[in-house]
Amino acid sequence: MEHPGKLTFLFLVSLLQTHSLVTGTTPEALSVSPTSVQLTGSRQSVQLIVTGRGVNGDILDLTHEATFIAAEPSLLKITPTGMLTPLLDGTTSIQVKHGQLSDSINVEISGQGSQESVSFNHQVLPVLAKAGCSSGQCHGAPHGKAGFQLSLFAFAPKADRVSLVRQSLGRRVNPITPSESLLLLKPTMKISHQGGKRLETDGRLYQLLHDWMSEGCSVASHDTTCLGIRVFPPEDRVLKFPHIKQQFRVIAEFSDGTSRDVSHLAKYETSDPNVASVTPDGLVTGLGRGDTAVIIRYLSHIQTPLLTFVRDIPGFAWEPPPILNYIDENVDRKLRQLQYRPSELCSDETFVRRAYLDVIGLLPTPAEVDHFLESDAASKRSELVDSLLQRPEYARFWAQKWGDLLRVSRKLIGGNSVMKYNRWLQNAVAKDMPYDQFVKALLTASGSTLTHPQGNYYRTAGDTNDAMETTSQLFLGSRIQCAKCHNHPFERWTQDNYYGLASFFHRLQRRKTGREEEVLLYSTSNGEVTHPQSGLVMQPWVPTDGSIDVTEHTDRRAAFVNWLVTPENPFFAKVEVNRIWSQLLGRGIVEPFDDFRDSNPPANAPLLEALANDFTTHQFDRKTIIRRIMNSRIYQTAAKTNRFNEDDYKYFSHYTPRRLSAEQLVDALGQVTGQPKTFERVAHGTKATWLPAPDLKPHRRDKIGDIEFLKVFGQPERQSACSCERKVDTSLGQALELLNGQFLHDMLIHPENRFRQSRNAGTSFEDIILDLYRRALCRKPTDQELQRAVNYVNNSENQEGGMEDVTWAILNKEEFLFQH
Amino acid sequence: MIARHLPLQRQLSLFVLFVLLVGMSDRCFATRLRSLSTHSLSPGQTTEITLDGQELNLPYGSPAQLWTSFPATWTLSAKENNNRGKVIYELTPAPDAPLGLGAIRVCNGEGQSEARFVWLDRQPATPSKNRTTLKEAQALTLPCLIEGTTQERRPVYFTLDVTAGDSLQFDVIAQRLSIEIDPVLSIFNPSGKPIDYADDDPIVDGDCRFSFKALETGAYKIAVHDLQYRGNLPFLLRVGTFSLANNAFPLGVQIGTPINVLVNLFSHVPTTIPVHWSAAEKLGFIRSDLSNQPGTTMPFTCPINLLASARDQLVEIEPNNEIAAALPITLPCDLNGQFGEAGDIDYYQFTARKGQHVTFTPNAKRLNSPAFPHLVLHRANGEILRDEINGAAEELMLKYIIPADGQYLLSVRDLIGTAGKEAAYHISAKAQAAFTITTPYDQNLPRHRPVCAPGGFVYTEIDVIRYGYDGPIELMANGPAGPLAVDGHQIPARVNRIGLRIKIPDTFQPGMAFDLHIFGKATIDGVEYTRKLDLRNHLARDYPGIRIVPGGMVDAVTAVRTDQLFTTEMPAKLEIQRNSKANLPVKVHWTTERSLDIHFHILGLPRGLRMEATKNVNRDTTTAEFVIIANDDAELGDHDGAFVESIGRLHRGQFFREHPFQISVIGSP
Repeated sequence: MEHPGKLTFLFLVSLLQTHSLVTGTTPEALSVSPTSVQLTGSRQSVQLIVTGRGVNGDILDLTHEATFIAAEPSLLKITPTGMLTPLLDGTTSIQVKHGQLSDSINVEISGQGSQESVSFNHQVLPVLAKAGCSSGQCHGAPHGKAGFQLSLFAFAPKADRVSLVRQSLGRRVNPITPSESLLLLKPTMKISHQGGKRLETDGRLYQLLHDWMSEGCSVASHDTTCLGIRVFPPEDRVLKFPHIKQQFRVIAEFSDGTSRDVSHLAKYETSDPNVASVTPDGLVTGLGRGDTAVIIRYLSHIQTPLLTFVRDIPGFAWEPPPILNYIDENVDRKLRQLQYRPSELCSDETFVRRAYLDVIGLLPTPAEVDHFLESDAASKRSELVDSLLQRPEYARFWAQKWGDLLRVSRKLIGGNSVMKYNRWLQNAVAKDMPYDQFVKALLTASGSTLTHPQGNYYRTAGDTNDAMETTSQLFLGSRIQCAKCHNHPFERWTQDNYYGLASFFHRLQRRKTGREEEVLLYSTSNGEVTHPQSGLVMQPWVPTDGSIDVTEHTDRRAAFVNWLVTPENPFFAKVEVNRIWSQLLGRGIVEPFDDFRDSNPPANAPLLEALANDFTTHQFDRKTIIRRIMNSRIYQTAAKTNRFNEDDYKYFSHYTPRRLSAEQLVDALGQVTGQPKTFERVAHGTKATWLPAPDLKPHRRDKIGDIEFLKVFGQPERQSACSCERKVDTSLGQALELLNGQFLHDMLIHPENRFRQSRNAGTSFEDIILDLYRRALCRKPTDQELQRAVNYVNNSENQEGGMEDVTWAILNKEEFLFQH
Repeated sequence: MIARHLPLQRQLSLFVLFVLLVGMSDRCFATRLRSLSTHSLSPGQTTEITLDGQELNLPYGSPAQLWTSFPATWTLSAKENNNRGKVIYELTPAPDAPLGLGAIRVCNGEGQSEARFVWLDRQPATPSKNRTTLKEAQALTLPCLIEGTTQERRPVYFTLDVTAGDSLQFDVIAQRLSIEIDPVLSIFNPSGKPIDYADDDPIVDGDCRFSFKALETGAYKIAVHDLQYRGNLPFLLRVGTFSLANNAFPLGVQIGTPINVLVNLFSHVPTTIPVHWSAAEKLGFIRSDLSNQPGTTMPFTCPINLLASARDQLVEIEPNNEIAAALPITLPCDLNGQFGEAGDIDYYQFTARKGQHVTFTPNAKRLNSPAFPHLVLHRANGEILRDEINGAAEELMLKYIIPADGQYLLSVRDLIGTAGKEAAYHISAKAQAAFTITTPYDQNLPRHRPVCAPGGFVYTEIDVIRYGYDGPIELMANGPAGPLAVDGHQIPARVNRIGLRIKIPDTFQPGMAFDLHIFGKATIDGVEYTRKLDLRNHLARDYPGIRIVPGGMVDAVTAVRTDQLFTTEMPAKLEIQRNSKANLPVKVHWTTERSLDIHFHILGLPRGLRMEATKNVNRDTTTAEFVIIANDDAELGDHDGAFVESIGRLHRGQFFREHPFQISVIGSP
């Protein structure tokens, strides 16, 4: 019989917990996982998960709201959060209650007569990973920290044991008095530790390390291997406020057929800390609306269940906006779920400027603006998109985007090769080369890089590993570099996978000829990649199919490309449509757009899938996707937010303004002032947005100290295939350049600039200012703006100086500097 | 002595200063030819050509001389513009001068310049008007050869009236003149729309050619620019209905036998024509134009390159793309094959003896073939013995010592899968130990250009690259008029470098440049083996863009006869007693402004006499006071044969002269 006081207490607790549901869904059913528990060792534990089902079918996690009552409390310990740990052998049951609902599970406990040894591989190493000791920022760094090195995420357990037990004269461990060992003194801050406090002395993790040392720091001679982990709940879940908590349980599977709850040893993170946080014990709590992946890691295994957090927003009512194509349908579905109201459509003035900048990289001329604005054709926006896609500037601008990714630079391949490679890219874009053929041409290039400039792909990626990493990042959307030295920390990539992929590129040879910049590319029939640690020959491997047979291909790259470009490949089409989406909307559905991984889920998976299907259905035609996106309502929404979407940064309920790129800005300034910048080593009239490389100009010693405007505004050096190389953030240097930099100043004071020529031709200041607004902002000034500007000029002691000032002011407006 | 007591840092500083000063002096005073005013000449026609450079003209006012790789005459222009930086000539190539690439150097009393290249063409050149807009394009009358320079950031435009159905060829010659340009040619239809462009060409590398048939009548436009839009780079543009050749097959011919080859023409419609020439008379690379050949259209100058040797020429017979179908060959021979299809492999089978040194030397690029032949040596069962795939050179020679008597296979494939009629190759296959000779000096550098003062010697060093032959090698040299006397003419066994002195006749005039053809000869396995000097590596580096350097530059060192530079005044006869010393003063009279260091020593002294010490003379010390010591057993009597040898350096080119005198040894007092 339970003590009455205890019963009363529990009743009161349950009442309080029930009261928290006042504003939320009331569960009408309750279940507990696992349905039965077997604890066979003294160090085992099980995390119970209590799941409720609401009247609307909502799934609720009630683990931290339920009460747990053991029929035989002496046999085990249950925490209020549902963690069971055994005490004595025996059989009992646990009743789980939540309000009026209850469920019960049976528990069998055995093996408590003897103390279970601590497993170095399965417990000590996970503790060190969970505490952050073996992370890349700490002792898991390539050279460790403070002389103590561990393998990242326990990738090399033998080396880790040596490091713990034998190095530094064995002073890291103390089997006699474990609490006096460095291994415990440092992370508990009993002595100074640069890594801070990592363990609590009364914590379970501390106890494991303590017990391992007191047991003699042993390692089982034939320990089982962990084959993988399962998590519960296994499916993606939508959690609605106020039920925004979700407890996870993690089960490890071992090579001897056993499985074990390792929830207390797993490491938990979320992919979007703005959406949810997670405790070290695996309790996720929603903070805002949206999706997040929960990254659960145990040893080198990783699982990434997805949680979506929704809440009812007061006053929100879904008013169906116009649907122009499937993009709108898919985005709207997500917006409705998350209760973000989409912004209105942008104005024609905004659209024309946006479309020109996105498709051809240039501002429209006043005549082009007027022509568009004056048309009242219902289809004028889509017609504008079509016409822009036919212009030669489209190919030049979008070839530059490829140049960024393919690292087309004088430094890497030489001046002549830059021009030829860029010309090839421009021709490929201009002729609408299907994307699969484009990629095939790049990846299987052979012969002379001068007559086959696409072969320069293998000059910018100068060896096997570089070629594989670049290919993986550009066409699989995966930053696999980490897996070169160890299993990938955020993805399922293993080191074996890394070298298996590399084997496709290993037989490619590069030979210089007597001609400057010329390299001959050819494949040999032998040459293998060996694993750097095991020494084993790596078979060619691809993510979906594993090892593939390449014997029928004399060039293994052909085998890889055949796999890569198949419409069934889950990566290829998605990566490219996501890239195009990012280039048009300023943010990818997967962001960064070259970082596809389970732990970085797409903001809208169905949308991404639909775009990819559209792409493959239309034979990988990029213009189809560009058109589709630009003709969608989503692309055409205004940047102005409403109170229902002002905190949306990733679901595309409104347009996200972004600064003009460095090259766009240079061209725009030139267009407005009539003083376009000229560049060396290119044809006269070449725009910045057509430049084949950022480093065409030969280095000149007398130009040291000359501020490079393009560099200040983020023009990439093209030394990396990462999209992050192009800087899009703002900086003090940029502000100074625009406020009083020489570049803009020279344009403003030039005697032949646009406003001076107009003035010399007798144009009034009012008309000059009208023209200025149309060129720079694609709109007319308001009456107030016009009056203010005209008055300023007229009242200036030097009217031309006044006009310079007005131009300067316009060009420093965010409305000019940003694409909105 | 002083330097030894200086701190190390100071020594290094002095050393650096020394190197800079010496280097500077070379750059300051070396003869350099920077540019030519024209790159196009016509056989039999006189063209005024301005040479720009430095130290072209002697400070004494003596005119600079021209060395040309083609027969030509020249006279100094009457214009008052000749100076150390510029010289103007009226240059007339002989009427039978070979068409195509020619080289020019400037030579004077103190040295020679690097070579610059011209194009010999029957079509006289028309200057470009440098029109940089489509609207102002320069009108062309066909056929034409335009000589122009690129404009910075703008193409140069031309226009020509074309009738629908006309076939036209365009050929831009620039890199073939070793000019640092990557020309691009663009064609626009009468509406101004771009039709196509031509850039790199696998036959002519960085130059560009274009062939098309006009679809409509009207004024077509052509634009020429450098790929990087650099300005002031010269180019030649040929436009017309002439024939352009790619290459021939077979690529090799045998000396003394008539030449019958198939020539692949460059055209929008692939065409092959049979061509017949008279027999080649000389070994090595030969160049022939297709003048007056049936099936070709004049005027035409594009040469075909062939390789003539004394060996049998074997033409591949397909199918031989399996081991079982390998074509039997007997070494030595020359193999001529083609890669008919992508992935084609040609097998050749031969018998060899244990210890034989086999070498297989591929040639393709130099013979205008776009192929990249890759050679592999196999046992008869296909097992690979040697694969040169990972070497650094473009066409890798394969060499091997046969391990045992028996059958072996040579397989040839294209490294990058080139295929088609043009994808031809030539392989010199030898089964003999051999060697090649070259010089370690890069003749394009001023300090390495050989010079020779009157009565002196040209000095150069010869490197030997041995392939299985370690024995002695006899060196010989031929000048313009025949064999020349050579000192140090035998390279001993197992020695790979030797200094060579070649005596130059006094009949050579100051400023005269002359080619020294140096040969090595040895008897190897009972067979006389002769090898010419091979300067291909230097020339390929110095003159990029040129596949076959003309005029014997490959196998000849060009030297220049200098001015007197100095004269010596010394007794014609020296009398000396036994057991005594005698002074021999050698006074130097400078005839040059240069500051030269001359080292003197005495050679050829009779028995019992010796020189006390060598002497150095410069502008400050003009007399070398030798002391001759006679022992008590010195040979009595009058002796000829002694001489004072002077060794001078001009721009670091060494020259030697001998100053003989008579010695009379008399008895002890």
